[in-house]
Amino acid sequence: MPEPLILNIETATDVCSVALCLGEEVLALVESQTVNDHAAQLTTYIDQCMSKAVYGLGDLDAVAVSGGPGSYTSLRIGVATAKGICYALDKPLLAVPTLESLAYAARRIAVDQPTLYCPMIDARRMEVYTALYDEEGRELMAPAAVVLHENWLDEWLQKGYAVVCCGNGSDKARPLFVSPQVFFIDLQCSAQHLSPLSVEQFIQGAFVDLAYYEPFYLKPPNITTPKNTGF
Amino acid sequence: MRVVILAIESSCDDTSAAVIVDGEVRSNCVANQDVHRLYGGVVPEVASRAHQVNIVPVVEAAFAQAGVEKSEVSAVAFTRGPGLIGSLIVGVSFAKAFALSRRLPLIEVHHMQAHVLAHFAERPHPAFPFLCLTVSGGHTQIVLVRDYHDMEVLGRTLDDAAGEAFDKTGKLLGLDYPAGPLVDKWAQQGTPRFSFPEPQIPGLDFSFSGLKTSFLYFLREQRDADPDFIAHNMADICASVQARIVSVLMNKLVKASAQTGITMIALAGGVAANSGLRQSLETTGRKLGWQTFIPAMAYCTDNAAMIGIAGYYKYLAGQFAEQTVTPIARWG
Repeated sequence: MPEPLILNIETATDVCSVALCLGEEVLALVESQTVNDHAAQLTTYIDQCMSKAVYGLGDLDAVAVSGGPGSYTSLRIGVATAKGICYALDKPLLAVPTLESLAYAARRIAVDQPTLYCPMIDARRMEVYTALYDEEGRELMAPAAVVLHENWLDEWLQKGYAVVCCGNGSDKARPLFVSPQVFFIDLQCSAQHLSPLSVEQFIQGAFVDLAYYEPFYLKPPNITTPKNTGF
Repeated sequence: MRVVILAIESSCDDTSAAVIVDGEVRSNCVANQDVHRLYGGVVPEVASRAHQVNIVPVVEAAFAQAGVEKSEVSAVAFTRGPGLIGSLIVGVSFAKAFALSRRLPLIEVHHMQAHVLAHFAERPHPAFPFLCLTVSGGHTQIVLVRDYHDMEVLGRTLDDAAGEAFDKTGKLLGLDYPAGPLVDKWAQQGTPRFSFPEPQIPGLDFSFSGLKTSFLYFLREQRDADPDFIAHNMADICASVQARIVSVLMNKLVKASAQTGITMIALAGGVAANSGLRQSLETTGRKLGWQTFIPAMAYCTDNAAMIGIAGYYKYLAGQFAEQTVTPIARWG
């Protein structure tokens, strides 16, 4: 089977990133980190990416989108844009778990002891969306919204693991986790990190339903019902 | 070459798509979000999420009903605003991606201008210049329409929209969401024997928040005297509130007609379904020699056909948007 040509879209955080990949090889990458600019720039980045690599959107084998968790609004932009392309050109849609893609990229950092990878995406206040993966990519803790505190990793550190933290939520963890077993690396969400997993999903035929797919918000909508009825 | 517009509307809680061929509505599909009933109002995050799962099925239905292929589309029109930002962003992003993928021009549409141009989805339609009273859950405006592209807002609400006034007073009466249509239903069986003050707002602007407050005090007083006041008088209370809201709207419309000398009068927006407003427009119109127009209900509530009609005339005028266009929640 020839290598698939996949357009990867990553908008889970304030990084707006597009990567065109042939197999795992990145042919073109266009990204920026400007808050609240995704709605304006995403389709122009896609256009630039295709032109750089001298391909047209019609040549794609699939579109892969970072599926969350992350910022609701920016995930919405990425997913609606991916759906628009797939629908317009009858292409299949892939959804790559955001935290898993970060952990996958972080696993390139080798530490000489058993290691866990802890990608963190910024949520509100001291909260992050996070999960734990081992060196083989197995998920030891499922994605969850966690309010960070200094003992949060103790269970794993006591078992002798080193923990590699990454992602835009890890800045909040840095002052809390002072153990020499905890490492922080500067690794942010980027569409190029979706690539190994999107290729794997493509080969497995693990496409999502174009019509009914929705991002992994992790939390239900925050609904407050007014108590004041007027009387 | 025929002009085929794919139109997308996602400004509030309905996801809608339409296909317009040479200015004729070929399909107008709407996915309603009944889920908001549970919360007694539109919850923006819930609406945004629902648009994400409605958009593809609704667009697909619009093509299927129109008997048009994706490859035949000439341009993509979309609601840029005003509306809920999280809702708008789904429709706008989808529209941009569709247009980019098929190398099509984009057409941004102002939701309120589209409500006015909804009149051109059918025949007969008003001739320029005409006045349009647009009333919905989110808006209340009197617009002087000189041309498809040349409109002037002569008056607007300073606080609540007329539809909001219906919904909120209905809610105070314990009616289910959306309460406005239920107020109308009850009103048809009642007599407007309670009176509420008419807001004194200069010019052609509106205000409905004072009415809401005086209604609340009225109910409190009456309930102190008779705890079952609402249950005993539901129809008359509704008829009274409706009569007041309608008279506020009509008085300004009469004033606008007198000021401009225009007697071609149109009604638009979801509140155009209100029986009291329709009746009053008809009787006032007959008395004053107006020519009146009310579109079919499918073109009054939020719908993509009106976006497509507006988009069609912008297409003919060569008014296109860039790929960097973003939604605008508050758009004057």
